[in-house]
Amino acid sequence: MYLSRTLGLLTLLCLGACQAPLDSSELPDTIDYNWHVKPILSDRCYVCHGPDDRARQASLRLDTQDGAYGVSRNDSTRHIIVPGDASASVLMHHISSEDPSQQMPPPESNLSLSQQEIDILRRWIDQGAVWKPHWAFTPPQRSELPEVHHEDWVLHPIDAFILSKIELAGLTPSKQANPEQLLRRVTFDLTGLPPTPSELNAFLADTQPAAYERVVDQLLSRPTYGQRMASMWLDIARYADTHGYQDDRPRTMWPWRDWVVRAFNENLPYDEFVTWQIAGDLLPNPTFEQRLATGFNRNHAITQEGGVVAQEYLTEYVADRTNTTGTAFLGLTMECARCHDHKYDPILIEEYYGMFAFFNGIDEQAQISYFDLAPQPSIPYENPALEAFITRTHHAVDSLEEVIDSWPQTAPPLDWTADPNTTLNANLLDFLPLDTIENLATPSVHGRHGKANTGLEKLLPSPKMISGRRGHAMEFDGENFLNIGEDADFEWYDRFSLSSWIWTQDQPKNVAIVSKRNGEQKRGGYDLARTDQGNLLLRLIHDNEHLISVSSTETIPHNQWVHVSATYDGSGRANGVRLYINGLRTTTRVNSDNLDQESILNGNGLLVGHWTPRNQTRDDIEGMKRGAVDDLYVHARDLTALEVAYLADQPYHSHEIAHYQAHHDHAFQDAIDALDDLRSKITRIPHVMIMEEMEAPRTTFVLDRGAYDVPMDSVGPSIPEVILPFPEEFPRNRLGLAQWITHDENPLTARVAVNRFWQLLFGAGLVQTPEDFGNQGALPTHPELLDHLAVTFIDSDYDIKALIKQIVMSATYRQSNQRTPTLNERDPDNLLLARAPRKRLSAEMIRDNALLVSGLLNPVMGGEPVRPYQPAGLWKALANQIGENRYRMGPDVHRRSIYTYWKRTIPPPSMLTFDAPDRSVCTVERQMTSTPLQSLILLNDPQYVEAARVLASRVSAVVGTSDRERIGLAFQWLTSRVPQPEEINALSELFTTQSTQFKEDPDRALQLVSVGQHQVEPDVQISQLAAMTVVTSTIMNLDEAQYR
Amino acid sequence: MRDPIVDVGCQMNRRHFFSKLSLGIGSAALASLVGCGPSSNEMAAKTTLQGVLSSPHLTPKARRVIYLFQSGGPSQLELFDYKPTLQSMRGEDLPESIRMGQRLTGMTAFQDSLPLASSIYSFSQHGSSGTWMSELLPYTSKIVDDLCIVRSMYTEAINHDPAITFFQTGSQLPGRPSIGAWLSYGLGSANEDLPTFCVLLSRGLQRPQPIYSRLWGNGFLAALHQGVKFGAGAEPVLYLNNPPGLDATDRRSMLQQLDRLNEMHYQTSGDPAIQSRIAQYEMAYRMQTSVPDITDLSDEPESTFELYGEAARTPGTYAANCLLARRLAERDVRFIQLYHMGWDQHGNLPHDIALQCKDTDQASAALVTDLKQRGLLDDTLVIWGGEFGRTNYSQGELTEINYGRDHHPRCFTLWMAGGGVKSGLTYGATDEFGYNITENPVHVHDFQATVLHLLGIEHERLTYRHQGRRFRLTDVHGHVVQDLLA
Repeated sequence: MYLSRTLGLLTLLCLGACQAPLDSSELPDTIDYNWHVKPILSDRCYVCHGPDDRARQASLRLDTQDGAYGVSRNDSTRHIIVPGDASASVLMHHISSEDPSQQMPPPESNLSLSQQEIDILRRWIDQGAVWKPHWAFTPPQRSELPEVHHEDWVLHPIDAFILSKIELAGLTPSKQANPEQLLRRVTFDLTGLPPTPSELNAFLADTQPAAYERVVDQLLSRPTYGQRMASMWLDIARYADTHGYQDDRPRTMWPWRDWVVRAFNENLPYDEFVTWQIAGDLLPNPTFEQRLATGFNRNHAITQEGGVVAQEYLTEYVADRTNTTGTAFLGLTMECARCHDHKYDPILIEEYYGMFAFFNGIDEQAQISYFDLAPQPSIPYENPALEAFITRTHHAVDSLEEVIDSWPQTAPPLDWTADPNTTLNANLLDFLPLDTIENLATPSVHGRHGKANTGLEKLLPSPKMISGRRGHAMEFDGENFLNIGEDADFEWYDRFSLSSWIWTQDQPKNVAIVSKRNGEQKRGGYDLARTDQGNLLLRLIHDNEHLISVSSTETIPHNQWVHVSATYDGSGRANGVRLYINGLRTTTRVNSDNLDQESILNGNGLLVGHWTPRNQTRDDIEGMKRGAVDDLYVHARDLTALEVAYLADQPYHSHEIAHYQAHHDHAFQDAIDALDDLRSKITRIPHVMIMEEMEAPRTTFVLDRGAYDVPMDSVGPSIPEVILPFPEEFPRNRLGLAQWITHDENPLTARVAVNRFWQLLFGAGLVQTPEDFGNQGALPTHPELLDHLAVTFIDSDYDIKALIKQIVMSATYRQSNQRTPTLNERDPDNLLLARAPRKRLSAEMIRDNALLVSGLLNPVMGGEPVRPYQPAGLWKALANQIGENRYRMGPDVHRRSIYTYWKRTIPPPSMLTFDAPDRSVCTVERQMTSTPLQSLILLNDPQYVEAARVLASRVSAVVGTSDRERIGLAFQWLTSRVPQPEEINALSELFTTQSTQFKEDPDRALQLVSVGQHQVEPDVQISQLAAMTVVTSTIMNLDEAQYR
Repeated sequence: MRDPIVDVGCQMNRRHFFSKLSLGIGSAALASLVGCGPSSNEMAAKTTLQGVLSSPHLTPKARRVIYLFQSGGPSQLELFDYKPTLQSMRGEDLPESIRMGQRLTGMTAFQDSLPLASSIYSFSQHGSSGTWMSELLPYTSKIVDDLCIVRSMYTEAINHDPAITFFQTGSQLPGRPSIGAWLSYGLGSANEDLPTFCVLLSRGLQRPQPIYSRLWGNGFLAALHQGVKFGAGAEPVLYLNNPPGLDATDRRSMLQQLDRLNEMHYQTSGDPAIQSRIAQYEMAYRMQTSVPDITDLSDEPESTFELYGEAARTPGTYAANCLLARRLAERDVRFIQLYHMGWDQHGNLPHDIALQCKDTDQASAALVTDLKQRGLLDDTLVIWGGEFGRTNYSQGELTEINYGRDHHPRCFTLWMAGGGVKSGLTYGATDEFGYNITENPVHVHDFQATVLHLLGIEHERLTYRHQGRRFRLTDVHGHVVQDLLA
């Protein structure tokens, strides 16, 4: 299949040797080593007769001239290849033999040669067996522009190279695309977003010849250009927001991601882009950004799994950097030389570990701690805007706290009386009366039901029902407990209250009453307990050093029902805790007051009667032995003293000022809301991973078969010499490596780069295997063009925007994508580019498009990753999360897709379904598939349903338009063209049917338009909006809307 | 004589549409478009996913696989591999002559002693095969004569993440396609209404070792070979349900217009990808009916729940997933992958493993029995096993009633049933300490090669070219274990 592809190309592309297409049984007149012969030898013979010394059979190698022309081991009078005489060549004897003992490749290899391939080899030998070096390992050369007939079609040198092959095949290029198609194409290609109807109209109206160029320049200067380019680079850099193994905890690499966007927008030359990422820290007096850029080589996965063997993982990390460097910058499959010499390319195992040695010198840990967001080496993020934001937030919190503290203590109006029975429902998360238990389950009146003994041995007795303060109560035995589930997920800045009746025995132990803590690691979380001294205790815990711990100075009476309550005001301070016993506020002792605004989130359930579902004793706290709990309330706010007294059946002061303020003083409530919001925004300067050499570098060893525990000879830093010898004057460190990679004579770097940008714009590279420019890779369809672009790129000092501009300005790029029977027949794969490719939008584009056309897109750039809608429980079904499940509705839900939180082991499913890689390894090419799951996403995923509805509102809000015009406008937003009348007819028909449906059933209409957080505009006719939503959703699902 | 370029084009297009674009339906349409290949109605009517193999390499014994993956590493010493010597030497240190310096995980490498721990659960022989089984598995004990038990599995990885990844993809490192994806790629789908590779999850203990979506990922294969995860909630497959307010009639009329518009566009553009897109929407619509049909258990008689246990009524339990697996198998889903989490007993093993068994034993056995009763076991391969075994010494303190066990890659047990494997067979053996294999070792790649063989695939011949070389599930290793074949 592979050879057929090559031959197919050759039939069309072989230079001058063939004027007319050939029958496949015929051979090219002139056989070329690189084009015709080596693909066969490499693919079928090199495994045993290639560069790998250790695997070589019969001492024969066919990848070098010496080997191929040498004498046969079995018969020293004969040569493997005798130039000019196939029949005398031992090679021909073996490949044409039908005797299994002689036949090559041997039958057990599962490889074989077709008759045509054998004939090619025979003709090549007969024609003199002329040997040539591998095309990609010789520096690119600028060649003369080929002559073409239709010179007027040529706008740019690119076009001459393309046209000459089209003409050789006897075809003609396509006419220029219509302006709608062209604008859609170039806008998506350069910014990842569609043109708006007004941009489209402006472009249509501009008939000046320079109109297109102006658009291109404008697009290249948009900040969205950098985001588009970055989405490509993040795949290559295997960027993610998590560490990638096991529980896959978060990491802070987003400052690096933001740097990538900036680098593209500021048009950092490609050689510097590469150098900074490989060795920015080794540049003289490196800037913060240069050091930050080296995060490229820390983006690989890092394990947090307990019990790993350190050396095994350290080896993997360095290997990942080595492989990624090979793939990303050089188009080399370096990893094939990790266990043995490369089977196909001249890369020795020693050279692999030579490259490995460049990356083996940083002081990193194999297994990082569970909470480490930026494992060493790392640096604080230098970002003046963020620093200013942090200062501003702190100031604002301080002054707002002052305002609230000094709030006028005005007595409530006389006609007001507190009604705690009602106010207690506000922010009530859970109320469990604990009156019954059946099959280990107890119902709640509000919130979640409780389930006893989850995860414990089934023989363990269920909590018992005993006579309670009200009705029954639940008695625990010190081992069992009740689990209310993942509720009450409070962070340090959240207000909350825990209240219940308890009955305890006199025992000198700390026992948990209500608790939500992580049983392992730092054991973070919060708990309400009775201490061994009989005091009430509330703790908010980040770890051993960072916690708030407050206990009552009064004690809880034993052997009777006592009401206990704890409230916390979200201040992050011990004085924000209030403790109540029997409805009366007690004096407190502060045991610890240094939570320091650190997180207390954990992913565990809220427990009653124990502190951990594993039934363990830790930090001297354990389960509640022969104790009971009744009427448990969990509130997501700090209850007032009045409310606590009410819960405790105590008399209360019905005109309490604090209660009035909390529930009736709107200005006070606004101030509290603002304070809570501000506190939740408190953040600190994060650290970010970088590369930094350790003082005494590690020794690198060649590893036998790549195994970390079988070191052989030590090696120093080196590179595959066959590509370009390492200049003496370069330092033997990462900086020297970067200089070698970006050396103008490095034959690979510029070719790999220009090929990648070509691929970005045409969907396929001139070399269709962007990950492999070696012997097994595809040959360039247009080698002279590739070289022309590479040399021009080098001469422009690696100006990326200039490169992109010349490609999109070419006539080749601007062609129509219209298929014709002739082209379908003659060049179905469009290798000649006699028409423009029609490309499906990428995963990011699909989503960003929906957001933009609906007007939902939040254009804020950069910063921490965000969490758009995601099916509930997606992560929880697979992993433990430790508080990661929280996300808040708000404008961040509608940010561009490159800012979506990328959890490497469970990436956003809708992105994966649209072919995004999971980012576990460097990926340089995405597949473009079409699957039923994609259809389900576009039809049903709330983010698309919401976008369709908001687009429907948008077009419906255009005054003075008919329904047909509105449909037309939506069509234009989504496809960048004006629909044909029959297209509008189909959609109008749908609109009419749906309007009728929804008028008859307005509830359904309301449900449909209520999907998503975006509020429905007031005064909208819901049934009409719902019907229009069905129409816009239909257009969004058109094949055309998913293409550019 | 046909134009050679067209020939090349046909091959390319077939390749594109098999491997790149879609369910393979496009290929027929495209083939007729460019004037090559069979364009008969028979071909055009095929809307199932076609594999790259036009026919299997061998006569398949199994048509489908149900893989009951026990994530975390179940202890072979408590379940299958009876070791009286451990009883007599209980508490003594693992002899160095047995350990032979082999590596331990960081969790026990620094432990002062490695006291041998015997199972507190007893073993007895069952069935006409006289197979030794633990008292923890009363139901499985009843079907031993249907099982092919391999006691001599071994792996190379010592930690969960690489070990599970190794079992599911043939490589310890992320990035390769999973077994199910390989089968989808190689064999395509055997049904028109359901995904060909379905994934069902359940968990035992509260905070088990996590798993990762890469385990059913497509790696470098096309995304359509990804496993489709079924969930226990109201929406069994992500985004399957119409949005609130939109009913099936609305959806149908919407899809009719969508079809009509896509068809119009195809007429002008001529891009066969549009045909493929149309077919995808049809398949999506069919899934909206077929998936709820599958997950709705209301048509199951009482006897089903007697067989699988009451837990099978609760969606998302292991028992419910076993039942669902049978229903998927009945509809010819090719690869049904279950994961049950919670077998990682470093401590509290006696307690915790009993719970795990209670969750899994009855339903696992029920599945085999049920398939057999329905005549499906002959061509369905059922696999039960984890990613590695557990050490014969205690991690942490060894007491009369409590101990733990660390990861042990050097030997563990896995069983298979149906689908062309020998029944009533116990294969391979370990030494008296249950530490090393003494007989017939089976490597993970051997196991994978054998599974492919049963499905009619020679593991060395199902390859995909990526980054310059041919990749396969078994990397460059693996031998079919002939002794296991019926």
